[in-house]
Amino acid sequence: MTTWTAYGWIVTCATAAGVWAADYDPTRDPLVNPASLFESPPASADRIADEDWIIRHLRAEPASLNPILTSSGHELTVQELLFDEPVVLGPEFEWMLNPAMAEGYSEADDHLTAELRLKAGLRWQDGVPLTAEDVVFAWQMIRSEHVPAVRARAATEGVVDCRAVNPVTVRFRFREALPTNRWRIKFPILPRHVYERGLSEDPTLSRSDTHVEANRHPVGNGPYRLVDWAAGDRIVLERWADYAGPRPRFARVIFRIVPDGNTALLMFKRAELDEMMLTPQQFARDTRDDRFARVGVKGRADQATVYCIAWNMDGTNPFFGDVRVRQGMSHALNMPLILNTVYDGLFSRSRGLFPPSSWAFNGDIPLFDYDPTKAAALLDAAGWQVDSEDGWRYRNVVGPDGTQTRVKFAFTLGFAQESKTSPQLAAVFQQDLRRVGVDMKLQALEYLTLRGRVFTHEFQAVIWAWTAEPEPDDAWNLLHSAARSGGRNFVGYANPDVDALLEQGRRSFDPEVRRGIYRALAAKVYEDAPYTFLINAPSLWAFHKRIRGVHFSPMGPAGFYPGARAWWVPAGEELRGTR
Amino acid sequence: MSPNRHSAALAVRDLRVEIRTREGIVRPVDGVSFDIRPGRTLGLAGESGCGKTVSALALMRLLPRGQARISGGSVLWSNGDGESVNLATAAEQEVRRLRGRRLAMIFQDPAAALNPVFTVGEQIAEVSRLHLGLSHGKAMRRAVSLLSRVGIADAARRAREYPHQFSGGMQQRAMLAMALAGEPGILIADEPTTALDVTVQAQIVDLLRGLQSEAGMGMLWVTHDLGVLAQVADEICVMYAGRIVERAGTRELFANPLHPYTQALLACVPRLHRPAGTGGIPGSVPTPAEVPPGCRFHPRCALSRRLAVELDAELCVNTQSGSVLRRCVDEVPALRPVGADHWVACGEVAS
Amino acid sequence: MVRYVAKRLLLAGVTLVGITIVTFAVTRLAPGDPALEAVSRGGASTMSAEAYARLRTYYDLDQPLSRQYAAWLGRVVRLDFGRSFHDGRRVTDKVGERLPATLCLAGGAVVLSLAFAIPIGLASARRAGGVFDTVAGGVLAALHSVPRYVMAMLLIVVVGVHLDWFSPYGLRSDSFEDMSYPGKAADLVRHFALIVFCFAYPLIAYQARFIRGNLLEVLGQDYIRTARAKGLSERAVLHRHAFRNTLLPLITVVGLLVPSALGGSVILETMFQWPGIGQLLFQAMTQRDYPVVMALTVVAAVVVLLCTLLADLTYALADPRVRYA
Ligand SMILES: Nc1ncnc2c1ncn2[C@@H]1O[C@H](COP(=O)(O)OP(=O)(O)OP(=O)(O)O)[C@@H](O)[C@H]1O
Ligand code: SF4
Ligand SMILES: [Mg+2]
Repeated sequence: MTTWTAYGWIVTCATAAGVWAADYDPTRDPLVNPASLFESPPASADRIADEDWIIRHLRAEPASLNPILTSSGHELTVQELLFDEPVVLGPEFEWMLNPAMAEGYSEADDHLTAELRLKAGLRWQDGVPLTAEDVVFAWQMIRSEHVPAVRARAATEGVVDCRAVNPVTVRFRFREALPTNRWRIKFPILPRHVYERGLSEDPTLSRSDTHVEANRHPVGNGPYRLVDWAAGDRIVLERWADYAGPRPRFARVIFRIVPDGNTALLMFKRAELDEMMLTPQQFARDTRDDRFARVGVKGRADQATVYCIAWNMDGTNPFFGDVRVRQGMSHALNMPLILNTVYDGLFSRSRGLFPPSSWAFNGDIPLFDYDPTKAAALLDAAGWQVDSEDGWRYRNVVGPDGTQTRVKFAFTLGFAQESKTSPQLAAVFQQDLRRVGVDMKLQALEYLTLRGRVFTHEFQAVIWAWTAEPEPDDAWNLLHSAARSGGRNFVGYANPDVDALLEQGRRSFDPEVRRGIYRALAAKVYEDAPYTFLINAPSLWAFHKRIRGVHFSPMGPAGFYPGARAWWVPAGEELRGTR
Repeated sequence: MSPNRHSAALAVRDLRVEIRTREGIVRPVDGVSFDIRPGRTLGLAGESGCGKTVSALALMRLLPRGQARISGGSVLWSNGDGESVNLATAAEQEVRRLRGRRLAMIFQDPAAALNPVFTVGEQIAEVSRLHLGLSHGKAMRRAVSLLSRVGIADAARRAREYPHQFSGGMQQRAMLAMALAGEPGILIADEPTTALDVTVQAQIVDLLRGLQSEAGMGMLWVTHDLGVLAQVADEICVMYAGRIVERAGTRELFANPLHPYTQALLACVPRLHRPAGTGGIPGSVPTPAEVPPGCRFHPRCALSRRLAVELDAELCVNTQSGSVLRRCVDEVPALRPVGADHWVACGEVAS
Repeated sequence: MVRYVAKRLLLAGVTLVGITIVTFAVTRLAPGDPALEAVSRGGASTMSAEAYARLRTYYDLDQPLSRQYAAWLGRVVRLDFGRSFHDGRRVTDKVGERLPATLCLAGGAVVLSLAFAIPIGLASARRAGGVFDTVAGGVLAALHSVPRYVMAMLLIVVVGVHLDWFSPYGLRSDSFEDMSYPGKAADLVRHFALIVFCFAYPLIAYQARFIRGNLLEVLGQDYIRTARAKGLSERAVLHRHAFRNTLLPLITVVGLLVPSALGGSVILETMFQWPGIGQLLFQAMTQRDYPVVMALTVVAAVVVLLCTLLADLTYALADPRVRYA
């Protein structure tokens, strides 16, 4: 790891020599969010380049391009251009039908069944007709015991039956009547004629040569088809001329697999990449040289990613079961300083459970202010008294056998060592807590190890993050007391009021009522502080300056409809592929 | 084949060699003169360390570069045509032209002197290719015939073998074949038999003698073994501590050894009626860094000590090794003629 | 000879099994596992204990370690390295498709380093202690002390990005297919140059010094005097007689350097976007792709053992003294 630290250091020195911005202000950087980046395409098609190639950044090699097996963002990036799904995520995270594939969706009055109607005459890229049977087949595979379809399986929870009524109509049956049911039928589809082969020998869809080959060189139905996959190097897609939807804008889309972010930025500056996600450090510092300005612009927008500190309340430590302690912690954290120094002024402060892009967002929640005195008072009230001798806080704790032991307020904060910001944040927080007599130790862990610890509840506090789902009902899995085992309630949070709100929220069919419930929920959870909410991470991207038509959804510039399909290059500005 | 092969000669005059060592500059060869005459064998005898090898190498200008150099004297090579080169001062290129072609040399330890990674045939052929301009094939065929000429059976197969597959005697034969490949007029043999078994020694001696008379080469035979020289040499130089102390025809030297050192050496040669001198000559050859003044042999000289007992005390001087003649310590005896073709460097013998 | 080889092979086999046991234990006992990796990858919504348990079964991770190892070993002796946990592909395919890139690199580095090291070594030995020897020795020692990744970074940033003389990333350009033959060749050179140099420069320093030292030793040998006595020029003496004798130990040294050079490929391949086995190992480690890690361990160990063995054997075969012993 020292190698990589030194490596990063050299990159910083070499590319940003002398450009040290203590206070970086993205609103005054001329390269950020130029109007051209967001420009809509002209009405006349001949003013749009038709033969250009775009080279996109993949930060890891996809495991598979089978859409029901994929789960990582980088896999979705490729797969969404190869496969069209009937139901898609809209630009603002709304549920929508894919205009190229689906004609209608209707739910029965009891909300227990629904019908999805496909367009007639759809085809797979190998010419075989695409019918309702393919949708049903995909659903069966997703629900199969043998197929490791992690993400798709979680997404389809609650759909108990799926069958084809006729070649263009699929009927779904749901376990319960819920307003969120229509999200449950948003799942990928598979070419049945391809995957049915060899299913008896390999019910996992992932362990035979036939299926592995199908996963690697998939027959899709999207705007592009795969022409080459050079392991560890690049994946090349070509425009599918017979695509049913709007004509794909690029003749080729090339994905370069570049795991290292520093390398990717250097490649971008060499015009070997046309787009990439930037780290805050890269956005604020490493992109201020004229090598970058010659080729690129930057885009920045809010994103639905929430950073927080998670407090373990499952009873394995004597500290965080008490709400006053959690609130005290939240007051002790010097957020203004952290926003300025650690996050370079690029991140906005989190206002609770839901990001501003969500319809459930509550902007009226009073935030914890930075107030060491208030923090100290709360800790005092919780029984943690400062020892006049050493200055740390102690409390008598009654053990299970009734004996009393004096316990020092000392705990460990875990965070991912790969993160650029978490170590700094942890260091600042450590100072803040020392000021109020709490001894916090730091533990940097490999990301996967950290996840494992959280998964098995072996932690006291961690810096944690997630990207909020479009549907606020997702919070059920995070906060409901029933989700402590099997769900994502790793902190062991149990609050009857919160449980009740979560239940109400998932049952009401009135959007306004639901909005009210979730606003109340957000306020309640913020105050109760099972998590100390830190920031909403922004989307930070670099684009080649010829690229237009970018839109930032709450998940970034791609991963929704139309997303990357809407990008275009003005005729005459082609960089590649003009033969 | 070369017309004047039988008249090549080497005249060495006042040859001096300097070697740079850690202790300073030393002169292991210090004013040596002798002649290698056409078709004749000159023997160079002396104990180990007296400077025989250094002299021989100096003739070929093969002294270790950067370390040793010829600091004086001349080594005049001539053929019968009046062409002559002073090897002591000639340009490197000129010397290279003669080496292996006009003068050849064989060494004491044939196992080390042959390159382990080339076949014997290749190593022999290299000389004919270089000096006679033969093609690879021709040179190899010639190497085979040279090998059979030096008495190696099945030469064609043996030529393709590597040196370590040869016995010591065969290695020396191979070296000889290599030396003969350039058809030299002069052959320098530095202890050619010392490293070999006694029976093999005799074979090599016979072979060398035969070849020499057959090819009519002038030859320098370096050895510490006077017994061998008795068989092969026409004339013998006895060397001690970098100088020639006695020079005479072979028969004369064995019949009438005059220098005390020669006498002592001869006493060590095994004869039929007498075992080899027990323990050799008392004392050892001084290293070039610590040569004694005057006659370099005086610390070990029996004559000087005997005379010191017989003569007056004022003619004597006490040294670490006992009482010796003052003259032997003070004066450097020159090589002076004492008879027809007999020269000695000893003040006492001459007077 | 046959007995010697057999003994060496047997020993190599035992070493190999030992290495695999250690690697197996270390990778499996390290925190995190592929099921966790898979379940984490999908983001928040997919992380459930139920999904995790299902995936552990899918990957056979719920078996005892000893049984997992025995099963693995049983398959490997039949040359079946199993399927990657990451993408289900045959491990042999995954390793096989990347081997050429790394072998080209190692081969290119050896050839390039020898192309520099041999002339430098010869010239240095010719006038040991002379100006060239001193300057070359100093420059090479300085080069040798620069860590590979620092050199790589400097070359990438300065020569690759700023001067744009070479392409530091990957094997070829995106438009490679559309190039003419000379264009393709030039493109390959532009991509190979920097990374091959990064592999080669420490080897140059090491080999040049090795050649020089060995030549000086050989130059003191009797057979060199014999060669001079033949009337050969200094050049012929050095290049033919002396160099031929240093070639054998050089083969051994190169044989031993190749595995250590491959060790550097993990960092260099990642930095240069080189789709070789070093990069694959790096990915497989982060993904906890045990079958791939194990296969690469076996490949690496076999390469090391084979190189050592081959170096010994080549030495034996090339040196007539050993060959006929
Ligand atoms: N390269 C050298 N460096 C230092 N001293 C040397 C070197 N070569 C020879 N000498 C010294 O010069 C002296 C003469 O050595 P030389 O090899 O000529 O003896 P030699 O009469 O041939 O003896 P031997 O019978 O042992 O071969 C010895 O004292 C030896 O130590
Ligand atoms: S000069 Fe004196 S010391 Fe020398 S040999 Fe003659 S008698 Fe002996
Ligand atoms: Mg000698």
